[in-house]
Amino acid sequence: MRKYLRTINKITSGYKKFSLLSIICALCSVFCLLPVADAKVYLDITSPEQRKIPISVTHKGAKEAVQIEEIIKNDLYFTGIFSDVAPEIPGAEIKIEIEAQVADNMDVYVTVTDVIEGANILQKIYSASTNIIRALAHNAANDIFKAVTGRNGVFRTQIAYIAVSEGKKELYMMDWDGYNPRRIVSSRLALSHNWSYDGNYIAYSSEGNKKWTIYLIDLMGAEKETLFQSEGLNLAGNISSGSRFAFSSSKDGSPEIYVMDINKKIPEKLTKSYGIDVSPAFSPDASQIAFVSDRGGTPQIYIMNADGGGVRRITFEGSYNTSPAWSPDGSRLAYAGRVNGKNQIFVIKSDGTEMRQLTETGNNEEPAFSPDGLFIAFDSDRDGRRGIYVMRATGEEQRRITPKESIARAPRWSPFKK
Amino acid sequence: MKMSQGIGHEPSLQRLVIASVVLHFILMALFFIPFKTGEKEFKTYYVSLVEPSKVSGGGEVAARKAEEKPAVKKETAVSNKKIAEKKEQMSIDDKTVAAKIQALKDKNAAMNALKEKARAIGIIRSKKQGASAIGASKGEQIASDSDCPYCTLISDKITNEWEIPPDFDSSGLEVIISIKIDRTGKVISKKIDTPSGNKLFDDSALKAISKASPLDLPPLLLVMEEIVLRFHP
Repeated sequence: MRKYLRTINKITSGYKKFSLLSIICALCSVFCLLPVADAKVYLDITSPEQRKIPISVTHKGAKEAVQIEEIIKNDLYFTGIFSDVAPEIPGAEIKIEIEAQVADNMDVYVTVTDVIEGANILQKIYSASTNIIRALAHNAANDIFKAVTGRNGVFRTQIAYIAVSEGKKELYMMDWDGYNPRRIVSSRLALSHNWSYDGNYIAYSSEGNKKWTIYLIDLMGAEKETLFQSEGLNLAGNISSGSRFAFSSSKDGSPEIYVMDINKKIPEKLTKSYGIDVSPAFSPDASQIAFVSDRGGTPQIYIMNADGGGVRRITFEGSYNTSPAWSPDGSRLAYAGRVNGKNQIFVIKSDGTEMRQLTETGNNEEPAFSPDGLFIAFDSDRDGRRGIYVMRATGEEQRRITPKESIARAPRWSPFKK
Repeated sequence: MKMSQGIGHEPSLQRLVIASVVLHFILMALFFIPFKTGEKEFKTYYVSLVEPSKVSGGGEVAARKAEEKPAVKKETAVSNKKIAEKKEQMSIDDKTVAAKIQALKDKNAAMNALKEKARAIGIIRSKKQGASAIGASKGEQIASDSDCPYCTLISDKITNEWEIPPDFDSSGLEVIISIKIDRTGKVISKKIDTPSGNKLFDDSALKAISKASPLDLPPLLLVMEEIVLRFHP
């Protein structure tokens, strides 16, 4: 019996040893793993070369493929991100193949290949009737742009503007490349139009019976409703994401900034200065309003909180700065500023720093950012008659998109198509 | 009859215990084999090819990594504590543990000696000498380009292939990609650890790696080891 107990004793001491060993093993494994977990080489890669992404575009099939290729190329190259490589020359990093087949309907096959990674990044069939070939091509360009950059392209967005002809100023809109212009409202005098946040409405001002009325037009149904009407000049600003509408009115004498809910239509006065306060523009997050005021002696750009508080002056250079427009991320403002008697387009950060002049020749006015912030539309008389121009937000590639023989002004870029 | 059988089995139980102890020692020894070859040890070195003044952009990453570190330590501390508690409960001979810890310390010292040796050959550089933003805050070892000719080779090669469109505003963007290379220098895997949030930027970095592959023939130590690349303009 005693021997038996001794055996048990020995076994338990064996267990003790076992647990001791396991603890040591655990400790060892912790110490072993620590250096292994960090066994990496870290390298910094800096200073990339500045080079556009070389792409090649090929087409085959029906003759429509040629036109689609042209539209897609024009869209993509205008972004400044891509460069053209002839299909027969090696070096393209992205290959785009377009094949069109036309029977009753048009079927367009678009294939995009990443040559470097050897991966197919887009393969899509577009079907439509041949009369909307431009919309189809812009759609394809959007998809290609998204596949390569991960961002939404602006190629199907619209630009609303005022077309001037025979003494009439009418509200029009067109594709972003200037094609497909069409009248939205037939009226003798339309002014200061602005898109709603969702792109379904445009607010604009129009004169009738010596009264200025601000209308809201539903682009789907083309119905219009009156937002505000009074004596004096009433000019529409933009409509924020929260259905708040900013405008200026001189109903009490000097023009002041007002905001109101587009459903309740109760105006609320935000500014009470002796000077002129006009051109209100809600920031993209609706927290601030940029506007023009001459309270400091000359017209300058100011920003205030959406409740009218915290007014601060943004521009200090130049004696005539007007038409503020927010960049889509709210970090910058584009505006028109007078230099040597001529108006030029400027961009400034919303804290008033890093001002940059983007245009040099002619009178350039009414800048508007594209919804992706890559482009700025504006009007200019540099080629004689005033027309709409589009450039990259850096000031490069300034090109006229409306015909030289017609007069167009005040471009306003639509939000992304929902 | 049963009793005699029990007595007959007694010595075999003792052997069993001894055998178990021996087996455990062998198991423990197995844990140390990678240690003794010292293979893993050489692989830990950090390279910064940016001038310290330029690395200010890396502050964020560095800070993040610095934050991570204490967390790991805390965990270890907790597990140590648990072990300590267990120790008390079982009332184990402290002297044995102390002896084992001493043995571990000796091994660490041996490893340090190995590091010194490696330093002498010129692979690793000590913390103080190569202090840069990443390394310093990480408290890890950094090798400068002069110390790791291979690192200079591959980072030059990748930098040469890295291109971003001129109009593209990439300021403030940073992407961290880890890659693995095989014996021939070919990049066999690449994955984004920390994306910049901008696809075009991330893709440009991935493309640079693809175009640079195969990289130069790596020293044996680097084969199959992870290389972490931080792309920032």
